[in-house]
Amino acid sequence: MAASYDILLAELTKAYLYGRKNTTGQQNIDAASTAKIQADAIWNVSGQGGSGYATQAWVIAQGYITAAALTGYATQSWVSSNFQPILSETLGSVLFSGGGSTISEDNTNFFYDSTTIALGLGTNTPQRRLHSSVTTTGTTTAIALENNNTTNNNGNVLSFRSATSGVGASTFIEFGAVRCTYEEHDHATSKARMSLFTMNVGTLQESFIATYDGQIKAPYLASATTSNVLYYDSITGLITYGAGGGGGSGTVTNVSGVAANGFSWSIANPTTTPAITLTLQNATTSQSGQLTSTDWNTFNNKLGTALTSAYIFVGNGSNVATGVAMSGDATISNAGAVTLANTAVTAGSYTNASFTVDAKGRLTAASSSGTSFSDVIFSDYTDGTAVTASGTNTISKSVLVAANKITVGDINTLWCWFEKNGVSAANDRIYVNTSNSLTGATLIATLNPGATDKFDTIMRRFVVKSSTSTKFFAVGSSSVSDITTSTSASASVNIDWTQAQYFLFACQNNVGGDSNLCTNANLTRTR
Amino acid sequence: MKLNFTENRIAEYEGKKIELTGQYEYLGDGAFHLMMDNNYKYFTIDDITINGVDVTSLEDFIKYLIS
Repeated sequence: MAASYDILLAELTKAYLYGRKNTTGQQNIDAASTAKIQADAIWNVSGQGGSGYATQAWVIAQGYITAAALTGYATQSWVSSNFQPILSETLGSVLFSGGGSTISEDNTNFFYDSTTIALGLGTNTPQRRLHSSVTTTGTTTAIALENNNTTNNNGNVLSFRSATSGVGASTFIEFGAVRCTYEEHDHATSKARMSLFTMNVGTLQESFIATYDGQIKAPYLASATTSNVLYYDSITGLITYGAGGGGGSGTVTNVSGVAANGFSWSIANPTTTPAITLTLQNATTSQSGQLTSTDWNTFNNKLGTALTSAYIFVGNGSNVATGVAMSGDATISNAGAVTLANTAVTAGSYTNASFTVDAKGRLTAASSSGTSFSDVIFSDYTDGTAVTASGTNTISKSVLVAANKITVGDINTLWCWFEKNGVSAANDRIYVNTSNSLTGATLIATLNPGATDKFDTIMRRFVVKSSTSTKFFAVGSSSVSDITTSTSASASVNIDWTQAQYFLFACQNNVGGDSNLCTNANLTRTR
Repeated sequence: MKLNFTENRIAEYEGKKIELTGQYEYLGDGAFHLMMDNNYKYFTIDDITINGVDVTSLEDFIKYLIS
């Protein structure tokens, strides 16, 4: 037919529907809301419709082609690939077979957003290219990767890709991946590991491994060698580092401690799960250790170093150290030099002086009274040792005169007493020596008490003429006193008074049983 | 320190030469006052040597003194 006609399809069991040249000449199938194109109404559209017109067929929106309408024809080659039924499914729904001859949709759970190019599973608002969403209480699997090959060490890889730039640039470069390897497929002993791969200078390396037994390995933590591996054993809690694996080589197997500087150690389970207890003792005078609270407070209350220049710390009336300036009879500089306050005494030397001393012991006045003076060198009133031996010259008393105590120009007077009990005469002598010994001593006086004498006194004067000459009354004279005349010349004795000298008072009994001793002695000098 | 006679009437004592200038006095019990350089000095026989040799005989030493 060359023209278009309205065709009441209900009256037809078969009809040849000719296509039109264009859509402007389209004629509607009237009352299509109730009209149906029966299962065999469209027949051989492609092959019989005539050249150039049957490549497409339009069914108006209100009509529909029942599934049965295409039964038996959809697989026929003459159902044109350009056959495009006009449907009423929801926007974005991805159509799928509903079973039999039906086409189904699940807009809520199977959705494609052509604008963002996103496919949603379990959602109709996909946020990424592939968005799988679940609302299950607890954990559930949103995406599963499966490799059913049961060869050990097979697995799945979730790969991350991109393109590179620069020299050698390429596309679809894998720069990261997550790989799960099924190491052992045997059901009873099955085990796996998860690896994280990252790109490192063009090489995708296995940088992080979680093993089946809870270990975490980072083979490339320190460098790109397998000998530098960090191991974490979640069972023992141990972190080890080094070559090896499985927490073997490089694992700390024992822990011990060394006590030092006040620290002591207590380690429980040193080979398994070490628990270390550190104890620090209190510091003492001889032992390092911790500072106790008491000590800290003591130290904290110590004086600081701040002090006003030239001040000294003095405890005040509140018993608190306070910086004050030294005053009164002395002052002190900030260099520590103490300066005494002057008295009325003029500095200088005084001969045979007259002194006035105040209550503080200071000389408040001094003057020379002339060139002559008298000075007691020694005055010893204690009994000497009683000499009872017979015939042995023995020291009864000795008195030490310090060096330079007697000087040139001194006129000295020596007095001493001897007491004797016995029946025989004796010998009493006075010597001078640099040691407390008679050996080498110089005799300066001698007196021989008689058998009945009980007491005798020696008085001997000597004058220091020079450093080498001390004049004595004739040495060896038995005179008890220098107040006499003598036919013997005076003796010049070389005594070095710049050295300390001993005055030795000796006794010698003629018979045993007699007792003789020096009871006192004194030496004065005048000039 | 011993008094060491090195030649007739010349002795050394404490590093000094001393001349036996006059008489001696024997005090008994081996002790002497020896007049040396016009001073009497006290020594016992045990303190005296002749040319470094200890004097063992008091009699011999007295003979030495008066020789």
